[in-house]
Order: sequence, then C-alpha cells, then structure tokens
Amino acid sequence: MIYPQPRWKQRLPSGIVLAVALMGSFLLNAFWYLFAPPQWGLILDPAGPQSVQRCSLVGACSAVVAWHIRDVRYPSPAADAARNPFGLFPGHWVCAFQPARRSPFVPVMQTTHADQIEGASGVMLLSDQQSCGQKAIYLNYMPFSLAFIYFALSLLCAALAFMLWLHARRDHAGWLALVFLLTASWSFSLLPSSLTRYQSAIILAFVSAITVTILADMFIWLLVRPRAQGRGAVALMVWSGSLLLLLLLDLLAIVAVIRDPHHVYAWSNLTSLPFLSGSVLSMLSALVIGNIHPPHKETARLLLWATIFGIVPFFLGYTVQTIFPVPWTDLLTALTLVPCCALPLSLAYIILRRQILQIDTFIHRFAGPAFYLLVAFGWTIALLEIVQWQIPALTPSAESVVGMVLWGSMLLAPLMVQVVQWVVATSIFPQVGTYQRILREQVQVRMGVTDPQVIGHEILATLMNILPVDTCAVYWGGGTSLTLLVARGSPSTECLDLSPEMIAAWQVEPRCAEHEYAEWALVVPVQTAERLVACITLGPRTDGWPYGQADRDWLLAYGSRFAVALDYTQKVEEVHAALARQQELARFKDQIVATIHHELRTPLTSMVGFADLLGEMTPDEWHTAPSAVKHYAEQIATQGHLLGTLMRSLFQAYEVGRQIDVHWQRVTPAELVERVRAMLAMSGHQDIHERLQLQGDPLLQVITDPQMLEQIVRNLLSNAFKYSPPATRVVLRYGIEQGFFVLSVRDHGYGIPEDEQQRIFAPFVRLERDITSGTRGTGLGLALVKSLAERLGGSIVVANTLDAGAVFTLRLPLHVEPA
Amino acid sequence: MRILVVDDDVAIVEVLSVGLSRAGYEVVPAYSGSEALSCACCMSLAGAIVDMRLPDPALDGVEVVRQLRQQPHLATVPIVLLTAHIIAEEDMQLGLAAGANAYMLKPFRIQELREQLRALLIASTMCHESDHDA
Repeated sequence: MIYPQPRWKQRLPSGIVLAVALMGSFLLNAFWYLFAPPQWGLILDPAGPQSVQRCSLVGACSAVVAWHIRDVRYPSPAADAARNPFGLFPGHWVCAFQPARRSPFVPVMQTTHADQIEGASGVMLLSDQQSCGQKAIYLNYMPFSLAFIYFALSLLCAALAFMLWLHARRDHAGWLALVFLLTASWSFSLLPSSLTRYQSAIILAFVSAITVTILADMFIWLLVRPRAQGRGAVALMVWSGSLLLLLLLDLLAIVAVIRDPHHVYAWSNLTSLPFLSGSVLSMLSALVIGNIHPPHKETARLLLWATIFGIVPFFLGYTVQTIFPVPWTDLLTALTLVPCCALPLSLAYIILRRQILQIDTFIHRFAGPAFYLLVAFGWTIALLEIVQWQIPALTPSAESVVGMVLWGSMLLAPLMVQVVQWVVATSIFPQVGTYQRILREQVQVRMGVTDPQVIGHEILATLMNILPVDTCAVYWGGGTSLTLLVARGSPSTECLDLSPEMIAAWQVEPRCAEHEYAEWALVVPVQTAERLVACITLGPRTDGWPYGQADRDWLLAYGSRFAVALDYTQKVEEVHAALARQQELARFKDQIVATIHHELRTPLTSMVGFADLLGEMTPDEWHTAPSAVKHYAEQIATQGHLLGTLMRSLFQAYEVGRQIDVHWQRVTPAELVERVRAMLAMSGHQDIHERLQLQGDPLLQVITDPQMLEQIVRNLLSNAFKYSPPATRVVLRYGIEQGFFVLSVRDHGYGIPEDEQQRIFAPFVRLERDITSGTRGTGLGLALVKSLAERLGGSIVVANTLDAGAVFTLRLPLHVEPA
Repeated sequence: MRILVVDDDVAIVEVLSVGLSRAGYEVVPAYSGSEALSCACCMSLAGAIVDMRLPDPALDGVEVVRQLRQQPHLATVPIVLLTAHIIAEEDMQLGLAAGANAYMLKPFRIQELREQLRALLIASTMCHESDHDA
C-alpha cells in the first residue's frame, strides 16, 4: 500500500529498522523453538543454594525473566514423556502443580517420577528437598491462561501497530511496533510449555506474516521517496548497529550454552543481554534520531527516561538480592517491581496517547485506555503471582487485598504521573506558569477592535516576550490561503497556502526542513467554530530546543482567544470591501452613462458636419470635385460604423458592470479561439489567417465562462491586429501553468510605453500615439478585458517583449467542474 | 481671417477645416493642446475653436483657453468651446471664466458654428472699433 505523503511529512522511517529487528527476533525465536535440541536450553547449576536463590529472584523479576525461562526449554512431559526430561537433572527434586489449584505456584506434590506429573500445569525443579516450598527454581511456571493473556496483548499491539500503519502514521506506529516486539518476545518465551512446536510455528508464521507486510509496506514507502537517504542514513546506521549487536549477543549466548550446558548460568544472563542491550540501544538510537529529527526528540527523550526508570531499579534490586540473599529482600524486590513496572508503562501510555492516538477516530480514542487497562491487568496478575509465591502463607482474603492494591496502583499510576508532571511543570519549568498567567490575566476577547494589525501586534509582542524566538508572524485571510498581517524579524513568506491536513499536522509536530515554508518551525492555527481565521507562525527557538507539547497546547489556547476578535475584523473588512465594490460599480455605471453622451456625440458631430458639407455643395461642385463627395460620404459611413462599434462596446461595458453571475462551463479554448478568428476575419481583419499563429493543446479543456473568455480573446486579438503594423505576426499561446490557465497574445507592434502600462486598463484611456495617429478606438476594450478577467477570478497584465511588440497575458485560476 | 481649430478628433478637425474654409476663413488645425499653443504663439489669429476634451488631462480645452488668453495678441479674439457633455454646466462656467466667448454643444450644424463665429467676430471688431473711438 502506498500512501502519498506530503513532502514535509516524509522523514526517516524508524519503523523500517524496527521491523527488521522484529523479523530478526522472530526468526531467531522460530529457529530456537523449532530446531534447537532440548539440551541447549538447560541452564541449571546444581552448585548450591546460592545459585538457586539467585535463580528464584531472576524468576521473579520483570521481563528479563522471560529470557531465562525461555532458555530453560522444557518439553511438555505429556507430549514427550518418552524423553524423561528429569533424567537430565540427576539429583533434583521435581514439584508438579495441579491445574485445579488457584495458584500454580503452590506445590502439591514432590516427585522424581515422570508419570506423576501427567496433566500437571507446571513443574518445579528443586536442587534439594529442604528448599521445597520456599526457594525453588521453577522452569515452566507460567500456566497457559496467563501466557495467553500476554500473547493476546502482544497481538493487540501488533494489530494496533498495523492499524496505525494503515493510517499512514508510520513513524508513530514504529513505537508501537517496539512495544509489540517486547511483549511478543516475552509471550513467546512463556508459551512453549503449553504449546506444541507446531502450534508455536503456526503462531510464528502468523506474526511473521504481519511483520513481513509491514516491512514490505515500509520498503515500498522508502522506494517512493528518494530523499530518505541523507540524514536518515545516519539514524539507519545506528539502528542497524544496535540490531547487529543484538543478534551477535544472542549468538554468543547460544554458543556458550552449547559449549557448556552445565555451567551456563552466567551465560544465561548473557541471553538476557540482547533484550536489554537491544532496548537500551533502541532508546539511544531513538535519541539520536530525535536529535536528527526534532519531531521525535521529545518522544525519544521520554522513552529513554522510561527505560532508565524501568531498568535501573530492577538491576539495583537484583544486585542487592544477589549480594545480600536475605529473605526480606525478596519482598523488597517484589515491591520495587510496582514502580518499576508502573512508571515505564504509564509513561509509555502517556506517550502513546499523545503521540500516536491523536487521530480522532473511534478506535484511536479508545485504543489507548483499553491498551493500558490490558497491560495493567496483565501486570497485576503477574505481580500477584509473585507476591503469592514470595509469601506462601498468604490467605485468600489477604491475597485479594494485595491484588486490589496492585490493581489500584496500576490504575492510578497514570494519574500520579500526571501529578508529577504538573509539579515538575510548575516548579521546574516556570515557563508553564507564565503561560497560565498570561492566559488568565492578559488575554481578553477584544470585540470592537476593527484593526487586525492592533491585535496582531499584541499577539507578537506577547509571544516575543515569553518565547525565545526572533521571528514570528501572524498570517490571516479567508479560507486556507493566508497573507502576512504582521511580523517580527524578517520573514520571507508573504502568503501561506495551507491545506487542512497541513494545519492539523503542523499543530502537533514541528517543521521538517524540506518544506517550502521551512523558516517556520511551528504554525498555530487560530480558528473559530466555523473556519480558520489566522495562523500564528513561529521560527525555530533560539535556544535550540524544539517546541514542546506544552508550548503547542498553550499557543493553541492563546491563539484561540483572538479567533473571534480577528474574525470580527475580517468580517468588517469584508463588508467594507463589498461596499467599496458596490460604490465602484455605481461609479462605473455613472461613468458609462456620461460617456455614452460624450463618446457618441463625437462621431455624430463628424457625421453631421460631413453631411452639412455635402448638403452645402452645389451640383456644379458635385461634378467638379467628385472625390470630395466620395470622401465625405465615406467619412459619414466610417463615423457611422464607429458609432455602431462604440454603442456595442458601451453596451458590453454596461453589461459587464451589471452582470454578476458567471456561468461556469467546460470550454475548449482551441474551439473558442477558432470562433473568434472567424468572427474577426469577417469584420475587417481578412489577413487574420495569415497573421495569427496559434500555440496550445487543441484538446485542452478548462472550466470558465465561455462568453466572457470569448470577449477577452476577441478584444485582445482585435487590439493586437489594430495596433501592430500590417503583415506582422500575432502569436496566441495558451496552456496550463502552475495551476493557472494562461493565455497570452503577443504582437509585433510598437509596444506599450512603460508609464502607460498600468493606465491602459482604465476605461476610456487611449495611448497618445494612437490618438495622434488617428487610429479609431473607444478606450473601452482593455477596461472590458480587465473587468472580465477579474470577474473570472484572474488577472491580465501587459509587458513589452524584448524585440518590438507587447504581450498581454491573461491568467485564470483553474476551476473544478461544477457539481 | 485665420481661425485656430483644436480637437483631438481628426474627423471633426477636417469637417471644421472644410466648413470654415468654404466660408472664407483660413483654418489652422491642431490636434492637441500643446500643438495649439505652439501654433498660437507664432501667428496672429482672428479666433479659435477649442474642444473641451483634449488627450492631455493637464492641458484640456479650458486650460488651452486660459493660456491663449494670456497671450497679448489673443486677449480679445473670440474663442468658441466645443463640448460633447450634455450636462456640463460647471465645465461651461469654467470655460467661460477662463476666457471663452461661447460654447457649442456637439453635435452641431456647421452653419450654426459659422453663425456663432461670425457674430463673435463682428462683436469683437465692434469692440475694437469702440476702443479705438474712445
């Protein structure tokens, strides 16, 4: 699936490498489960109680447990009784658990005989009988139901990641894929005792298929955007490096286990290293990526903190346990697990909610809380099991209380994190305090201010005061095309053309330098309930940091205070513009009426004059000066014709002034030009066929008003022929250029003097040269053309060409077909 | 008698030239205000016919009349303003204030113009004679 991405949105597909890591991890898992001989997984060291104790703690602790347990691959006795796996552990006691018991960790019998553990939900190996029921190495302690919860969780993550992928939020989906990677590896570590190899293989195939799909999608994405190289390559190298290290460590562990199956407990720690180093390296590279790509900086930083919060206390507890193996430290470890687990999970949840789940659809709104509830539930069960295991004497009611407390603390964890965040924000970052103060005190809705500049300057003054920026501006206007209202610094962008998607995206993530408006790091939309009124744009922070979520939230809130006031000024301005337009129309009509009197009388005067001259001639004179008679008659006819032309032009001008509706239709310019050419050929420009040269796609179609466009073309062509020397060429060119329909008429006449180029579009203005040379004209043609072009939403300009001649260029916006 | 005819419309200038020539006047045609002024400064004129609307907005008919009047040898010659505006009382007042003796509304019969011109010339001559008498 290829989704066209806006240029600014294209950045490093961090998910690509994640998916590669995912694939590698699963392939390794698959290999391990399907092909590794059972002996490889043995990690028990019968050396003494010290190891046993350490092992028990390892079993109690967090996700790393998964790797240890995974390594102790213990074939299901029911499925593979013939192997008698306990023969592999001579001198060890085995505890088996009955599935009917409420806790799988309470041993119900002790045996060394394989027959007695048929149907047991788990087995426990003990190095000596005395430690039974207190400290134990357990191999496959996780019952199927619990493993299934984690597995379902990982599938849920995968589904969410995939869904987000489909929503083209690939970068964010990458983070979710990371969660998927963690939970999936874990769940797979827990599964093998309950599933057969073939079942595992099927599940692996299923998950691998999802992974491959994501991977393929990302590679296609990478292929369609060649600019992914460059900066992205650095981050890619970091990712690849961490992945390779992960694989290398995994391989080292495997080799170590193969070489010394009875003395590999230390090495088994190493097998957990890939997981830990992989995640730490992931975080580090996330930080690197965050530095390269400011949008990810904040996310990466938070994730790094989450990792540190999650991993460091665990290792501290683990070390303490190892050095001082006293019983109370077990409980201590169990208790430290609560914040250890809650913190990263809460942080991850907050990040997920902010960074990923901002898409406002049903699924995304509810996926976050649902995800967290599931995770919290799973962790509660796990912790409860640990507590039960650590305190075997726990009564069912006490167990329930502990469970409730754990569950409650899980649910309250995000709230606590929010509180901590608030405390940190208000005490450590006084900026936030300033933000709140400004929102509270300074901003009032300013109805009645009709000058938008006043509001704009006030916004800028406040922003420059509290934010470390040296450029910021306010753009405003109707629709999505905004023009510069006020600015500080020296912005080079005069107009912003923003699509709603761009606005939505800019609101949540800062700029990418590839974008055409790269000087703006943040664009904050100011909108009322109905429409976008303005945008506050900010340059990069001078302290080098990206804008944080708090900045954006506040800017959005701050800007919205001005939305109504700015909207009001805009509406006032619109009313003024409409009024001015009305007045202009009225004035134009008055002028037309006055001009009808004036312009019609001039040729009429000539006609009357020549007729008088004719009438005065005696019959003798008629004979003696027939040329004079002929000349007068011709003059009368010419003036009469001019009168007719004038009347038509005036009527058209009047119509243009009057007509309001534009009749949009699909028009083929080639046909239209042909029609005009025929018309002009009939009205005195017989040489038009030789002189006119057409350049343009004959099949091109545009949406416009055919009558108006025809008027424009006729006037332009007629002018070009009238005001250029005979037999010179006239070139009419049309086509689509940069989203406009552009039609130009170029003659090889005398050009238009620079100082008159603006004036000639005003009504009744004629060039001095044409007046003195006696060329007939009304001075209305170009005024008409300009008026029509503006009515169609376009413009007309004139310029002199380098060689002799002028070129009139008409630009009309492309309209979509009316529904 | 030499008459200056000022109008930007070539046809009207021609009509006036022919029409006045037939009545025995010598016609000096001019197509713009500047041309008219340059003609007027170097020759003696018996009268002038000036169109109100001339191509140069800074040098329209009224202005031409004003500048003609400033020249000593043209201070009293009859000047007729031509106008196409039907409702231009203010313009007319301006023109008369600037020194024009009469105005003609377009379209006009050539005979009317001749009559008007003749009457003005007679009046002007009488005026001169009375001046001499005094």
